[in-house]
Amino acid sequence: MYMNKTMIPKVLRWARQKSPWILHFNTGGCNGCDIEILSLLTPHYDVERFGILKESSPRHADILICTGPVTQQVKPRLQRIFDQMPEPKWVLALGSCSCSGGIFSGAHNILGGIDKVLPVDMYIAGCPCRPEAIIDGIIKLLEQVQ
Amino acid sequence: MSKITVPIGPQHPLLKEPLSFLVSLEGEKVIDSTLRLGYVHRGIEKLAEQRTYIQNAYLIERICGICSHIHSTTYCQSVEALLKLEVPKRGLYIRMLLCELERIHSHLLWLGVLAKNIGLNTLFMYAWRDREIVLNIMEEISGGRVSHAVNIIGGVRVDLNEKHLSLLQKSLQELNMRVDEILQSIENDRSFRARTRNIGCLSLEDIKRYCVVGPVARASGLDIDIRRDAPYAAYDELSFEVPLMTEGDVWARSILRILETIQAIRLCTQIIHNLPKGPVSVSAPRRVPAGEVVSRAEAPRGEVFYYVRSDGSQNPARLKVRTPTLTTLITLPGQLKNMQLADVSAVIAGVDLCIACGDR
Amino acid sequence: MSIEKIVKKLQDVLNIDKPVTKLMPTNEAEITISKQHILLAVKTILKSGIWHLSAITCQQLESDFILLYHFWKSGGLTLRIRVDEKNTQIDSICSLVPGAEYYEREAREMFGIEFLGLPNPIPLLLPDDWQGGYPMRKKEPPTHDKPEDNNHKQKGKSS
Repeated sequence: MYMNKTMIPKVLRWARQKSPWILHFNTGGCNGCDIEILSLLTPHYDVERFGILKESSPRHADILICTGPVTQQVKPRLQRIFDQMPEPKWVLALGSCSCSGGIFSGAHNILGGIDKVLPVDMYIAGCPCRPEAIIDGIIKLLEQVQ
Repeated sequence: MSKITVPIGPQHPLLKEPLSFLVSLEGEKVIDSTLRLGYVHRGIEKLAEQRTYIQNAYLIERICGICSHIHSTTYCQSVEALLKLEVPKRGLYIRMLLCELERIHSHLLWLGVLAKNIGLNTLFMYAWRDREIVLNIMEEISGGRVSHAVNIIGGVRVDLNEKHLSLLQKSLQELNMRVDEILQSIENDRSFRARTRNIGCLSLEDIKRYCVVGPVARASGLDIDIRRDAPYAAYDELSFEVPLMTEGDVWARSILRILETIQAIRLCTQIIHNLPKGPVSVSAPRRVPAGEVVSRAEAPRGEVFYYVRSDGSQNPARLKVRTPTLTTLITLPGQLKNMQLADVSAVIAGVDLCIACGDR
Repeated sequence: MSIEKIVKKLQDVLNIDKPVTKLMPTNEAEITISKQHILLAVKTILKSGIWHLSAITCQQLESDFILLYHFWKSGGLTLRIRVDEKNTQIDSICSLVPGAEYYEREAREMFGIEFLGLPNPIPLLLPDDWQGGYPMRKKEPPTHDKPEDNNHKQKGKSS
């Protein structure tokens, strides 16, 4: 059996959709959304049944999940992490702070939401987001991959 | 041997929040380390001067997601002292109940993070599974798992009915059993001891010199607890013990925090059995008379300090927040000296950092 | 030693005849001293058995700065010091209380107070390339200039 050229992209797309690896980066948030992301890995929500694995290095990840508003100090590091991720990659802005700066917008050290620095593919609102909303957001993002 | 610098940088699997650590190594031994904060600095003290006292209650909760209720309790306490308001007893008891539930959830969270950092993934899963019991209770009472918005200036905005009390009783019994199980399994476990014993030691002299507070100080022998030394809310009507250990290493801090969790469960049980009847809040005026007030409370990580100055208008003239994480951060370079690189993860997890609190 | 006795000792050592005020709530005492006496006052406090410094608060009142050193031992003791706007220098207490380093660094970058003898006079919370002056001072604007727009297209969808 041989794989012709049209089958390989289909297989790759199927693999990316069935097993997205996420990288979580807190760009200045209060921790509320971060602990809800960690709750996803626990037996109660168990996000591994969707194939989602929390990765440690940007070079292994497909989806970058950012929480918190972007502070001035974190901006170049966020840019560097995004550049280190291999294509194709997606960015998810989690929580009201990363969507628009949230309750901290207007402060002297805050630039705004994640979209001031990176192209965002999915916004999930909430302060903090519920884990069910995060799973819903990731599944909807994966449907876009098709 | 030449020196190598390893960045434990803003993005690292060990850290849940951005913090820059530059560790200088000679071989596998840590010679020196430097810390850089400020990645999470949101300028909350400046923002608070531009918002009214009522709006600040919403902002202060978001200094930190893990200890949000204790921040809002200390803030509301200080403003109530300026207004000379007497909060009804039932309101104070409900505040204390959520403070203790938050302590339980914070310590279980920390235990899971420590376990994940040192490689015991099963303990992480068990601790966070048991934490869901506490989050369920908090959601039933207040509507939110992490951020509760229960405190208002003048009391609390929720009341407990029979359904809440029976759920609390059942859940606390189950939680007690599970936390006892966790304590028994790790107290004498050889691999846990090997990863945490004699790691990151702090002597009593260091604790006093750096003015450290919280479980890190109590694990080295310093007996301080704001709930007992300067009771706020209605802590003087409850009885509890303050665990104390003397070894000062990561193992002592772990066992101490689990003992504190057991005491917190005991406190919650006392609160629901002795809950007084009556209203839960009093109405508060919008303008606060001029004055200064200092307020302290015991967060899961130690003493939280608030200073509020009012000039008679609707906005505070100055709000100063000092969180316990700042006191432990300053000891980290000293703790890491002469440690092996592989133990850095245990030390960082052992002090229970909350950088969002530290940077504000 | 109780807080009242320590306050009495401070008044004797520094020759202060001003009455002591009480910061609310009731177990807090506040004593006003001049900035030349800060090291002597802290030495006296340490000798009397208080070692815990809770925080150093800095605030701006009209044009001058007020520094509050909050000590605690089963009762609170606050030292109040006025620093002139034209001469914002004061001795650092890090040689006596090493735990004061972070509080002094924060007051330095937020308000511009010069602490003589501070071990690491580098920014604590503000970024290294901060251009916005001293953020917490009353005259400084609370927000910074808008950053340059990135040329990334926003293709987001809400969930």
